[in-house]
Parts: sequence; C-alpha cells; structure tokens
Amino acid sequence: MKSKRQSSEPEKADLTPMIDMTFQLIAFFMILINFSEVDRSEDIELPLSELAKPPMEAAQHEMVLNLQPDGAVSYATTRFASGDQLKPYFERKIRDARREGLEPADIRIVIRAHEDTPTGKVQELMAECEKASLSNFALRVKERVLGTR
Amino acid sequence: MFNKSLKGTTQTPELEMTPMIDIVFQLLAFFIMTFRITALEGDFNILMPVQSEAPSELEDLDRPVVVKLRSGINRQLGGIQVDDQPEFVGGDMLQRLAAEIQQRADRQQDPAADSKLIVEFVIDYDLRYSETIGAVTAVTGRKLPSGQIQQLVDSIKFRDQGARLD
Repeated sequence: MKSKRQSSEPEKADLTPMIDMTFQLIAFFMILINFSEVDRSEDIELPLSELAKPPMEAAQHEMVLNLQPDGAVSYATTRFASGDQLKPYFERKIRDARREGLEPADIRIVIRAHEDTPTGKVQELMAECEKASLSNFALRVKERVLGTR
Repeated sequence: MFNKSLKGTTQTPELEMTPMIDIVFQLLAFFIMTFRITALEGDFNILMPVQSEAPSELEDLDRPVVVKLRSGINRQLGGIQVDDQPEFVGGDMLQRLAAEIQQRADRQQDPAADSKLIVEFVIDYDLRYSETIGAVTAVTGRKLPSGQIQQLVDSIKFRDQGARLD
C-alpha cells in the first residue's frame, strides 16, 4: 500500500480476463444465432407434437409457406391473399431446380400452418402446389415440451 | 520508422486496447439483442399424389389404411374411422387409433409380407389443423422411454382436398 502511494503512475487494470470472457460470449452468441428465422412468420402458432424432430439433412431446394387461419399465405416476407397467387414463385423455383438437374418432386414444400387453420385450407394450398407438379410436402410442427398442453 | 525509434530503447510498444474493446462490446450487444430462444421445430413428411393404382388392383397388405377424421364441436376431433370399422369416439380416440395402427404395423412386420404400411387420411374441411396433427402424430409412431422414435408407418398421404364428412 505504501509503495503505491508513492508512485506517480496511474494504476492499470489487467483487462485480459475481461477480454477473454467477452470473446467467449461473442463466440457463444455467434454459434447460436439463427438466420433461418427470416422464413418464419411471427404470428403463426404451430401445432405441437411430441414426435417433432428437425430434418436430418437440409433440402437443396425448399420453399417455406406460412399459412394463416384465413387462408392467407406468406412467402419470403410477402403476404398473398391465397395460395393461387404463388404460381409465379413456384415456376421460378422449378426453373432454378431444373437448372441444377433436379425435378419438381425434389423441391420440398414446408407448410407452416397456424394451429387454428381449417385443415381444408392446408389441403387447398397443397393442391395449388400439386398443380405446379410439386408433390413433396413437410408439415412443420413445434416440439411439445413436457408439461405443455 | 517505427522500428528505428524503438532501437536502443528497452520499452515495449503498447497496444491501444480501447477501440477493440469498444467494438467487441458493440458486437456483444448486437448478439444479445438479436438472440431468441425458440422451440425446436420438426416436420411430418407427406407425399402426394395419393395413389397411382386403383385400390381394387392392390394386394390386401399394400392397400393403404384409410383414416377418416370427422370434425365435431368447436371444430375439434369428433370421430375417427379406420377403414370400414366402427367409428372411434370419446376422449381416447387417438390412443385407440394408435393401437389400431400398431396392430397393423405388427402384422406388416411379418418377414413373408413384403409390403409397406401406408396411411391415407380423409379429413373434414373444417377440422382444426392441430387436431389433424394430433392424429398424424398418433399414426406416425411413438416416443420410446429412451427418447428414440419408433416409426410405425412408411408413408402418410392426404386424400380429398377438404372433404365434407357427415
């Protein structure tokens, strides 16, 4: 204590542990950040299922369609009143897939429908996709965690 | 020039840490603010179109199991009918459906039977989607105590775009 009082130089804090810790926190958040949420519509409450498991491998070509209870569909942040307005987007996706030597059946259509949606509206959307020769569907659900309804 | 000025001195150059710490904290703030905890999401795969052969042309074991879901009060599940069997009604409908599919899956496991178990859903237009997913979950399989999923069916299909079942 005595020697510090006598010194005229300002005391320097050792910043190394703080910087270490901060970099570790940044690394943690960088690993967990999920950019795929762009496809997800905020206001859609997915139905729950205990068998929900993420797909083992990501599809090469995928279209995520968010379906509201009134039949409105949102795709890539654009909202459409009904599924039949998506025809140009289906065609473009099929063209992209064909350029890579893939068939329309290789394009996975992920349907994120709100839990209150009449099932008939989900089937209508599937029918619109089928008109464009898209036949590979995935119904997206949320994992039922123990203790939830 | 920098080296030259250091020559002959014993002092080590000091790095200016402040800008780095500033930017690191800004990065940290960005990641903390954009961080969201979301529940795990999964998929049920549905293949369309429904069938390429007429049901009468198919062998008995290859014929899909037809499950009809009827909408009841408040668009909730009112009844489940498997093929031409009497309709399941009441609170344990989904358990009975799962048991029925389990039975058929056991029969299918006979090594002599080279066939796949396909379930084809005929669903009331108005039925809440969450109820449909409940039924799809019941036929798909079950979660074992080990956490693994026992798959019961090979394929799930939907028939009729919005049938009105009476």
